[in-house]
Amino acid sequence: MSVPVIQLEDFRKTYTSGEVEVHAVQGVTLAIQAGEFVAIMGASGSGKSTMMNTLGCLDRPSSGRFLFDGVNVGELNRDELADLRNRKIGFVFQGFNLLSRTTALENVELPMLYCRPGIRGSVQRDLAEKALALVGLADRAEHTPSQLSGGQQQRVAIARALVNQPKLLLADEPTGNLDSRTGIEIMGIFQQLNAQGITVVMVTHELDIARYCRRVVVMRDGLVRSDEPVKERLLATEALANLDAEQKAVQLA
Amino acid sequence: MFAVFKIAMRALRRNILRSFLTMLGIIVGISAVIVGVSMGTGAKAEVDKRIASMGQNLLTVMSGNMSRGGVRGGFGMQPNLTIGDYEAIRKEISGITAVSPEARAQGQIAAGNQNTSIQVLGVSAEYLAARSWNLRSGDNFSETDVRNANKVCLIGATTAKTLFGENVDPVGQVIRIKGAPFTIVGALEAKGSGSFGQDQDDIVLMPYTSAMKRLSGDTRLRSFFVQAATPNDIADVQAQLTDLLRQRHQITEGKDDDFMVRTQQETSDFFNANNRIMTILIGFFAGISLVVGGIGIMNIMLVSVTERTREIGIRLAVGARGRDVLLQFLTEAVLLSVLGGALGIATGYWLAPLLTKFAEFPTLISHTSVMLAFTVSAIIGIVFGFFPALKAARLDPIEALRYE
Repeated sequence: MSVPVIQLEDFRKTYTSGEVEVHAVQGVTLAIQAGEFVAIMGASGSGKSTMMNTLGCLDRPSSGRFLFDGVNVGELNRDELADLRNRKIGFVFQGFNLLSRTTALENVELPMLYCRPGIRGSVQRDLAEKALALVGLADRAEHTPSQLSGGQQQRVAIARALVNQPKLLLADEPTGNLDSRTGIEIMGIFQQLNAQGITVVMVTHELDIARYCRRVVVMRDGLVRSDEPVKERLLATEALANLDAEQKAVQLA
Repeated sequence: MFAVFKIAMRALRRNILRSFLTMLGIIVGISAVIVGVSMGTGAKAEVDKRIASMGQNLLTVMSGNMSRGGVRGGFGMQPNLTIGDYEAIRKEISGITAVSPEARAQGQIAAGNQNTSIQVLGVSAEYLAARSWNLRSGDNFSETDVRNANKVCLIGATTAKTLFGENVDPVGQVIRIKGAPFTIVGALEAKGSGSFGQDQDDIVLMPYTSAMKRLSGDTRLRSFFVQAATPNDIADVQAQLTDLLRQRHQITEGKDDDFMVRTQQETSDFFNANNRIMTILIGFFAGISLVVGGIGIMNIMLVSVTERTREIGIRLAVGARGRDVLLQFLTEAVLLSVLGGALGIATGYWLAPLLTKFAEFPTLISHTSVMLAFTVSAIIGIVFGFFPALKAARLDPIEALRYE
């Protein structure tokens, strides 16, 4: 069996805020293989944000080991973490986190600015256009985020996450700021990408959304409470078709 | 690198008014440096030009000694140079081409019903050549005229115009100076606006003997004019003059000279000393305004870093290293200050001629000062932009992403 994309071994994270020690995550052992589609669920304070930051290599474990694609993240310095994020991880955030007053295309080019060795401008443009086409926004390349709908903004963010062909697509409440239909559309994109072999890990608190994934990890009080495959997995294409049918029925009535 | 530049340029354009106001400090500072230094160099160039216009390789021997103990023995004292000194210089100093006393007399001059009050300068026949003054018509007075203290004179262009009107050749005319009749033997060419303000053309030259005997009645002189043969002879001539005069004035070892031998260079240094002080003062204040401008840049960059914390978070999340962020903000700061510097230089180029035009102050913008100003503005950007940029680079990506 190949090396897992993510391997946590007794992962713990402790923050000190003032004099109080907060044990955000208190010993999680977890492996995510390439090609998986995992939802991490939990109420606020369950430690899922901390998990997210660690899996995204934005932070290092306080103790325990975190191997990303076989690399011990705990031993990397700030620059090495940055390079790892750049090459192997694509982020999708709840609030989209696009650069305002910057076109969709330039937002997608952003990660390539920090590639080492550098990528030529024309190549960057090509790759960014391809990534935008992949999420169905080829015709919106020159629009700024304020000229795009929430769903479109999130798709730009996904294009940005994909542009460096990462090992892992990491999404933090990707549907949190979207209406349910647009949310399903975004899940549709994730399912499509996953079908192409991209590993997707997302944090969500919505059970409905988690059902589009293949595996659900539930966290509470900094520990994994359950970790099982999704039964009766939803397919975004079907869900959207159902929605359309319902809408039609309402209009007919 | 070009991408970094583009990003910085866009960030500055986004807040164009703010960027301009931030630059204003640098613009004011740099233009003050440019104008200030141009005033210094302009004044120096003017002094040098005027001193050079006095003639080539000149030395001046002055009675009294201003260089030591302030004005002690200076203008207040009785002049102590004599005709004997002059003749000794003429005979004993080697490496000189001309020497002349300068006997000054002030007096009322009349011709017909016109009269004017001007400077009469008693000199030797070598004076014209030493100062490279040319005659418009007539001839110089002769050695004989000097020996006999003849009542002859040369007349300056302005004086001639005052007394005889324009387009009249004054040669052969007789003027009365303090009542004594003098025959004009030569008319000087106009030399234009004069050395240190006075009109060089409002003058009458005559043999020093005539001036002393017939006008002032003086027996002593305030100054001599000596021309060295070549620039290389100047130092030697200066030493010879000093030795000779110390000997003649019986100044014993260790006593101060009661005269002063100044080269043109020293004269120009003397006048330029004031210019230098002025330049330093202006430079000092311009420097302060540059520092203030730099602080303005730092302030705005700090605000900018705080405002764009989220942007920094995004960049860090997608893989920007600390130094990428540092470079980005540093580029912005340097761009601000360098653009400010360029605008300041342009403003300086615009202001300096205005100053010359309206305040009649000579200005000269040197390339060195422009280069210096440009470099200084870049350095200001780096120095004052570094701290905010470092602050940006050290942000924690998680905190930065969470920042509202």
